[in-house]
Amino acid sequence: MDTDNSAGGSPASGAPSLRAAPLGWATEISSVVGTLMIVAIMVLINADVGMRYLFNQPIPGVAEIVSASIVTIIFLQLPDCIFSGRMIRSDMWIGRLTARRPRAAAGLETAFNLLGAVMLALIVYYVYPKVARAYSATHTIGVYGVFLAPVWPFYAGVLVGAALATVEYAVATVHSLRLAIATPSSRSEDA
Amino acid sequence: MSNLQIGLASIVVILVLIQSGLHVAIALAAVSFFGVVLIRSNIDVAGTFLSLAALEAVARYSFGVIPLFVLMGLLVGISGLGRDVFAVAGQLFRGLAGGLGIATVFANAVFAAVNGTSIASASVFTRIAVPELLRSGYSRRFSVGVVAGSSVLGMLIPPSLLLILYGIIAEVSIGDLFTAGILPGIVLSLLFIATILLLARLRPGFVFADPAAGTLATSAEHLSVGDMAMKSLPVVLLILIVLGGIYGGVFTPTEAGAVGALAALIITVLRGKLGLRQFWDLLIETGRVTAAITFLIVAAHMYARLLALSGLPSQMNALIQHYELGLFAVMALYLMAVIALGTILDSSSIMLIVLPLILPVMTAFQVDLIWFGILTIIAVEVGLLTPPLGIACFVIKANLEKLDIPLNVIFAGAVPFVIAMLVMIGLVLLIPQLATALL
Repeated sequence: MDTDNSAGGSPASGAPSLRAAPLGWATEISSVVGTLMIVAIMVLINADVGMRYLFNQPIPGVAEIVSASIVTIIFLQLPDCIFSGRMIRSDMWIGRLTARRPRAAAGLETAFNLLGAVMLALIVYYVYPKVARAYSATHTIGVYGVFLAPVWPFYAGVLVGAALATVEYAVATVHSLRLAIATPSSRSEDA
Repeated sequence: MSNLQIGLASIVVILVLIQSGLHVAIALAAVSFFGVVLIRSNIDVAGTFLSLAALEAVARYSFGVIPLFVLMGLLVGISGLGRDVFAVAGQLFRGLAGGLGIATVFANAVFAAVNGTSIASASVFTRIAVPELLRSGYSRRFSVGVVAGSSVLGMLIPPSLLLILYGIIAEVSIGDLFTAGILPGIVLSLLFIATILLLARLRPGFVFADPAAGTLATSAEHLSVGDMAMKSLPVVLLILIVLGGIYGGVFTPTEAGAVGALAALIITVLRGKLGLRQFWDLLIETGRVTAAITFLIVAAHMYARLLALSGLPSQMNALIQHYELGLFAVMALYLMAVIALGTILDSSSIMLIVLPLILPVMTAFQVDLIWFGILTIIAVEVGLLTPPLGIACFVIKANLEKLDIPLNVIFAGAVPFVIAMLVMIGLVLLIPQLATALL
């Protein structure tokens, strides 16, 4: 699919000066962990295939680990994806609006980023109880007697990623709001 | 508002929001969430749907294919394999009128078999093929048009991210879809080649910069058979691993993705094309692309639930029965709608919005969902080439660098290939065996 489809636009959150260092680090660490998990999946599946065909000895639990990891990977990468403006969107119309009426466009972006923050916050709010339950009741993935792993670390990654993504959207909201209400003198470059 | 009206309104609102520039995933998730709240008058039910979509919608082994094939595609993109395949194809079709155009189609078809996105095909071949085509005396319009047209093969010939996405939404085997994409991919390549031969004969003004002179002697060196074999070897190896592995039943698609990515990594490193820093950037890029696509799927999962709750799909079935529409009429309407949506939406969004609506209808008609998938992919891909939003043409424009070729010239150059694709849709429609014969 057209991955990088319409995702060519300006970064949603833009101005690096607005990024408090801790958030920048957190987003980066989250993305690095997600990236390493992709590499781990690749290595794990290759090892499984190799063991199966060469030694007739498949590695137990690979399918379960891959399934659980995918969810975690997406959410860990999400903050960085939002920050770097790679979320899939159609930016043709808003691009034209930005060129003609930059403040109106920034106002619209503010609403959009706010909606993003709200949706991610809702995910955090409704996912949290499940994560807590998975932790306290030690829910597991896998088949009993063959391979078992606790599911909460995977869920926790989802929670952390969604929370960071909420913050990224919130920061982007503030940024576009500033553009929208900036006085004309301070945005002479927009003219 | 009745549930049905909520369902209908949700589609309209989603289309408007996406067009205004809201992130597609947020548009789908937000409208679905508030739609469910309206229908059930209960926010916690919507919340449960949200948490289910987030935690469980994509927690499946088969979703591992997404990052793995994205990684493999990115590696193949920088490996220089595209350049080698194009050189070999150029040698193969030297001497034919329009030979280098045919070589572009051929190289794209081969490249498509080791890479899963049309975007990658379009960007790689814009840089490799367009300058060479221009140097050899082809018109600007044709040079960019043939790259745009043949880039759609990237999504039809497996591995293909669009086929994966369809498989996930329609809940059919991705391996079967990959197998089904092979024949249509080959036939569409042949149609493209026929189009080029016809154009070169009937409309030389379209193809050549100076129709009287035709093609100029190419500067490209002649390749011996040995050179050609050496240049083809890595690609053939990758195709054997990925397609041979899946088709031969040795690998699941996810395993083929992992083994293919590792093989592509080894090949790229051996060719000295990959530094550590570059590899890391590539991994980060893989993560971003994966997150963007898969989060879209999470959101689409919610939207499908909203539609099911609203009763819209079953109502559509009733409506179709009421007007006694046959499969052919429904299919024609559907394909036209998809092609029309393709002018304003990107491929993945179209599928995510339309499929939850139409799949129940197709199931009622007892349509083969694999065949339906191939039809859908080709129709969706037409949208890559049609203005105002033709992603493949945008990507070409972005990769032209120093060459200044306006967007409308690229769109004009792609027209003959769009026509070929429409013919292809007709062919698959009339001859379902094109998609199902290899299964």
